[in-house]
Amino acid sequence: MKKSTTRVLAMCLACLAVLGGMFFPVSSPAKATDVITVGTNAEFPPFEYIGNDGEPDGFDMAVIKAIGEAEGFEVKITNMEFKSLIASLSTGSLDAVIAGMTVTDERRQSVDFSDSYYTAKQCIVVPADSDVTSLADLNGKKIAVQEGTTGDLLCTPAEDNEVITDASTEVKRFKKGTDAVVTLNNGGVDAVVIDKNPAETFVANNEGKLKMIEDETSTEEYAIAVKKGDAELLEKINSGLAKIKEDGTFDKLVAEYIGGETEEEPAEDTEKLVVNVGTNAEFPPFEYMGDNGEPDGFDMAVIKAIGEAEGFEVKITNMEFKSLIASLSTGSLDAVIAGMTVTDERKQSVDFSDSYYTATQCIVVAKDSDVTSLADLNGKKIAVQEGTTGDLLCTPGEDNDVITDENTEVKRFKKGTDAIVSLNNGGVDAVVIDKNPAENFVASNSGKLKLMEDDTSTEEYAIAVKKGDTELLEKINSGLAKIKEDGTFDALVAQYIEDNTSTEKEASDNIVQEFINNLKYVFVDTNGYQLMAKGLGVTIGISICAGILGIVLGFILALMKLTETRKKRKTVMSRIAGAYIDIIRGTPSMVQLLIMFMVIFRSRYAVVAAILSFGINSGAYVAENIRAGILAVDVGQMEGGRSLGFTYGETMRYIILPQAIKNVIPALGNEMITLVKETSIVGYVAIVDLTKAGDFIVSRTYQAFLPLIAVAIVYYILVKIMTKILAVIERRLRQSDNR
Amino acid sequence: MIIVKDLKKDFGDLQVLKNINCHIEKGECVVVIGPSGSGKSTFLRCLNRLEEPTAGKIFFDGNNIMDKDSDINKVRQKLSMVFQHFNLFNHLTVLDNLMLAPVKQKLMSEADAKKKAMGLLERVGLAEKADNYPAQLSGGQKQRVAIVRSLMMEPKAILFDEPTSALDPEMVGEVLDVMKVLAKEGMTMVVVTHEMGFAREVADRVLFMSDGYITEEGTPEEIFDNPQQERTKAFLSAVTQK
Repeated sequence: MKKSTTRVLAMCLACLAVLGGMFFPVSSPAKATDVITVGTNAEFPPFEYIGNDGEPDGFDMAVIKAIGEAEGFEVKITNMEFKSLIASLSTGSLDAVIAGMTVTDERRQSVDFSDSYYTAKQCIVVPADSDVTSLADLNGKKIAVQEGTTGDLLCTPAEDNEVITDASTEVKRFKKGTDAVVTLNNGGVDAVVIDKNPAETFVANNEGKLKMIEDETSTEEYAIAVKKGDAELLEKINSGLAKIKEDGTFDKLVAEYIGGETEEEPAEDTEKLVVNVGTNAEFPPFEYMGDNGEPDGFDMAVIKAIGEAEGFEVKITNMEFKSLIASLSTGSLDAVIAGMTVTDERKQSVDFSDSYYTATQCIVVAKDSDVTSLADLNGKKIAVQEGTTGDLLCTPGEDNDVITDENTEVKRFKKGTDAIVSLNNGGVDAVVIDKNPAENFVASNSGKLKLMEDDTSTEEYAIAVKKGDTELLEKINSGLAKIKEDGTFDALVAQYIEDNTSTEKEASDNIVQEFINNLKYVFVDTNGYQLMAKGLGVTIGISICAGILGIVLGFILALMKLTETRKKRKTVMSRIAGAYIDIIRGTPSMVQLLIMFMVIFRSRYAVVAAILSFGINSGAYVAENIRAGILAVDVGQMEGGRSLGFTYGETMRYIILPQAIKNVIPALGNEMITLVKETSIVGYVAIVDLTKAGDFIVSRTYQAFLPLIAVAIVYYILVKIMTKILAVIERRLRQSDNR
Repeated sequence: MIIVKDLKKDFGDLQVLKNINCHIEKGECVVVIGPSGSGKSTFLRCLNRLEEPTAGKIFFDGNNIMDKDSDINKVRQKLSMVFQHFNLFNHLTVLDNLMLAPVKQKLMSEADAKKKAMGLLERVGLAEKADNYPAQLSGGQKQRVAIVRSLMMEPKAILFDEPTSALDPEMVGEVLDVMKVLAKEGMTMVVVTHEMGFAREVADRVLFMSDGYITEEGTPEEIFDNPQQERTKAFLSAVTQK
């Protein structure tokens, strides 16, 4: 028996080890001659970025793969920090680096460079109204760069830096180019110095706000780096590069990834039936999160109808509005439908389909406000949805004729609903937003808000595709024409945009009646109760599965740790269990969940990831509870059992554990209650649990009080039920204590 | 029945048992006395390896229980122990306490075990307590149940580790009476105790321990009436003064 207990533990350990092996595959250093490991830093579009499949994609990746094909070796891409690339070459963990890396003398001391494959210029990105015209103007200013890049070298004052000589010049180094640009937008720095291609993308994405200046002095050559002295690989790469330049592959890749006027029709697969469409589901009724947690709305219905008419499948991806156009340029999206207004600025970055909807911007204000037109908003506080037409209309700028007062404060919200909440709370004087959502907002805040149309700002909504993708554009236009012709389009307009009345709540003078109406509106008319019921199911499901996993793991860990008490010295098992408990208790469960979901599960199987994450987390706490419960049983009980000829395992099973359970149950119950409440963070990995359901109802009804209180009450009832069950169990177990 | 050869036990640097040798015959009742800290309890607990001896040999029924091949659990089935603090299983009723080991170890059927348990409880006058939990018994009753629990194993010998030290004075008698009956019936017993009256009346032989050795042994008359060693005299005079 003693041996078999050890064996069971050993098997559990083995299982854990196998599982661990699955999640953390040991990278085998098998360096077959025909596989080379290439490092990159996928933060430098269009040369390298993370593609749709989560793998690094971009011009550089395509180039190195083409070279590999030409020379007959296989390429394995590893994505890492830019700073670590050269170091990894020297240690031998990488064979080559292709990362938009500029040839410099300093780098030549550490690595060998191939022939240059691209010539790039450094660019200075500054706000549209900046007076910076050259790199020299940046002396003494705050500059943001991507750490370790040529921009970093150019801007950092040093002995051999003839341009930036002012030692007080402050250089902020960011890991990502995008972060540098965000800082520029927030006013944290005066300029960003970065390579020309990403600079163009960034300026395109920040229409009107940023401009870009080329620095002619800093022309750079990009080349592939290999370990110093690795002449064999260098020759292969140079020969491959020459080959793909000769047979036209290289030019094709330039056209496909970097673009320019020479861009040819991309060699699209004719069998490609899936179109990746991006949206930002925060703009009802055009796009919002549906009952099933998937984006829904007029736009979704339109693009799906077009897809049906034209015979392609539509895959919807929900992202920030700001990122949509950038994702089109990088190719991770094929089209965007997001209530997106056709503007000249956007036309520079994307091609638009025929317009499918005409919208007017509206000003939403408190009922008693004296604002009557957009011009009245000069000098006031305005809330807008970040990156929308409303944002453009209200932000003071050179080409803004209406809002001219520099004191006008524009608050940019990620969600239109948040902008309205801010208006209701008095944080802003007005919200400027498209007419349809505006109507919804006003309807659901009946009597408190009013709305004015701004006729000067009539807008056309259209579907955006990647610049030059005429094939897809034609398909979309043809599909749009078809669905307009056969009446599908009108039916969708009626269903999504005009039929607001069904979700509108009835107004009433009676305060009680109003409350009941409101209750009905929030939970019944908009199907809030269904969402909450589904969410409750998810919460309970995850809690139960994680709880069981936690108890099983905790029990195993407790027994492992108890080997220490029995042997009176640390054992391998007790050390493993101790380390597990130490690590899990020492890190936030939120971080564990994100690691489990994003790192280990690669953003798939969110529910499984959540169950595992919470189970593993709970196991650490349960282990300590169970261990304490077992240690609390008098040693005499073990001696009594052993003196009767029971083995250690039998004594545990028949005598110690039945008594330990009594000690453990209250603490275990507490742990389970904590677990139930802790699952409320699963919304972060896109699981619609009870909390997230409440959040959805808030963003649908623009009311926070009722949904959130309802969620709180449901959690409370859940915990109350658990407490009652626990009390019954405890009473039963205390039977033997009765005197 | 029990032969101890050169038994030693260290707790770290502390030598508790320095060199113990003794024979205990079948049917003999041996009482171990001595000042506290002399190693009496450790000696007793070494006999069934509840305390792991540091060195030495212990033969029980002819087999060296210190041998690697010997199954200590099998030995303990026939070499029961009664503890100072009873160590009844608190989560089980009296009857279940008695039946647990014989039934789980498949030494007898549940029906036989129950019959035997009820019979033994009857003998110690606790039949009506069969369905009570240990928490509902007095100390004396608990210890009588503990003795019955050891008897359930049908042992060849029983070790008593200060069986009356944790009892209120008025309950000592009822436990000692049960032990006297057992001794009379010819059970092999090794008893560590401070009850000199019991030793004098019941013991076949008395061992006096001090400083990790058995310093004197003999019949009760020899030890109590005519002690040879100074250490023994001092101890006995201190105890009897009380």
